[in-house]
Amino acid sequence: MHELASQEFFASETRGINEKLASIRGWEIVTISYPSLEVIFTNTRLPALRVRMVCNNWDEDPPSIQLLSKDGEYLTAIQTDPKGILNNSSHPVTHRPFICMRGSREYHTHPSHTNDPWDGLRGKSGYDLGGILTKVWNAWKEIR
Amino acid sequence: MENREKHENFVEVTVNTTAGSYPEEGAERVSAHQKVNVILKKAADHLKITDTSGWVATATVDGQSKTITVDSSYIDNGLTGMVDIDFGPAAGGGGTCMN
Repeated sequence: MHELASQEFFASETRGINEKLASIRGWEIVTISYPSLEVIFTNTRLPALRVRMVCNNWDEDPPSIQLLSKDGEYLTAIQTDPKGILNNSSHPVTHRPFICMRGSREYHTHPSHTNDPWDGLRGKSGYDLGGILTKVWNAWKEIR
Repeated sequence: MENREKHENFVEVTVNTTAGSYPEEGAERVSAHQKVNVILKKAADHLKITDTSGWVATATVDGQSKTITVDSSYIDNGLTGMVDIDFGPAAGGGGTCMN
């Protein structure tokens, strides 16, 4: 994907992620500037989780989803949700906890999912940048 | 009394998604007896969201986030006055990465 096309695509798909939506969801927007879409999930029950989606070459490639502390440090351990989407094991490429979910680069590059390529999801409803971020957020809210 | 009864028959609704909000400005005044899925469909059409199957609608009721039964009315969902609906896909598929 041409870099300019990725940038424009990124801009169009993040236009709706605004302060009103963030306020409703308990998100703090850190940055929305290509290639990074970065927000902090907050609520009264769980420690905050900072999620950085690195969207270079979007949407040829899905976003790489990084899990950080509120202060921006890479997490070496995470709380997990019942489905295992927040995966506390070491990803073979990043060597960090990761998001095991269709739509994350870490899922589609994991040896367990070579038969579930991103190509089949690109452009589908819910697999835009906002949709992917929303799914991660909903998984995070399921942590017990 | 008559004016208050009329007021309670309506809600002011916005639907908020990562694709944008509907309406873009202000809120839409709808009958409190209308099913919530009516405005969700309008929002999806306006925002060009082609498929909302598996999506979840939530709103704050008495300070708590509550999942809305979209085939029921605002009244039946306990939604009154200004209603900000959050609408988006549920947690995704996956969770089977094994090392």
